[in-house]
Amino acid sequence: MTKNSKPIALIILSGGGFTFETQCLLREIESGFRFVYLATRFGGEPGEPGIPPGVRYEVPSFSSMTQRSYLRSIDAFIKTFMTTRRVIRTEAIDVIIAIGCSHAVPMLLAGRSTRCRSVYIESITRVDKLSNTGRMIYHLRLSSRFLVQWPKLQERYPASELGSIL
Amino acid sequence: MIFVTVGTTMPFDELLREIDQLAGQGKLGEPLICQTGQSKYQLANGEQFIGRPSIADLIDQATLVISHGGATVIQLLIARKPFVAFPNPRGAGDHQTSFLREVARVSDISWSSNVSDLAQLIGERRNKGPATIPADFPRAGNIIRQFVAGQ
Repeated sequence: MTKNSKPIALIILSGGGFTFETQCLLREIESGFRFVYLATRFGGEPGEPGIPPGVRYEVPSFSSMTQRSYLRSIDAFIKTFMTTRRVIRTEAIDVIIAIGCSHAVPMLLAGRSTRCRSVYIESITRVDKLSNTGRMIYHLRLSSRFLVQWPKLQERYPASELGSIL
Repeated sequence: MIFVTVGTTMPFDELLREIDQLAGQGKLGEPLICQTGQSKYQLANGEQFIGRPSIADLIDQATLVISHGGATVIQLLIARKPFVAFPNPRGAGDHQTSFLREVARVSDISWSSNVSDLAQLIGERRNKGPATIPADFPRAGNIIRQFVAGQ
């Protein structure tokens, strides 16, 4: 971050409920940041209502709306990891922020390998158990800060913090 | 218009079948539009689509929304839209049931694990109007701002 400029946050727009939760967070923080986005094809467009303007890099989805496959997931993982590493360098990212989605794992792995700070927020739909994505990030300590949105979940995972998008 | 959304990651045919039957029996009294995601069920009494980037306009136009137990529930609470929710039991660890149960502790939402309760819950929600949710947990936005400023 250069002096007198806003920090740059790398945000993932993966679609569906995750994009909605991300929009709730963006509403809270948009005045203090500039944004760069990784987005799936239908994840959302910077500049549309609820998504502040910013540079957009497309990444594949881990699943289509009609099916899931391991090959597709592996492809999405590798491409998201490589894109994140490149974007961290070229866009001078200050912090990576991801809510819930599968893309968080390769993004935060890339962040850790380049010493970029990061925040992971577990989806608001997870009340008492972490998602597979959340478990991986929590136990491998892939994010600098790990937030959950329900007190019950925070009690169960003491290294997490309570922080809601609402 | 009644809008049904079941998300994009898991099928929820039993919910679609139930609402389609109610529409076929003339019990809804308004048109039906369903976002069906990975479900296989084909509606006989309404329009359907797999998914699209935003469903906010359909939520806005609907008089009542029927939703799976995903983050859409929060979207509906924020939008103050009357809705009925059913957890999709295919969710990992049945997390949609835990989520709706927890939301129901702080909000008077209409929900059930049994889709055969749909007609009754639609009537209940039409009478009650929109549910609300308090927002008194620490804010993630504040934590992120302080974290980045503290470098």
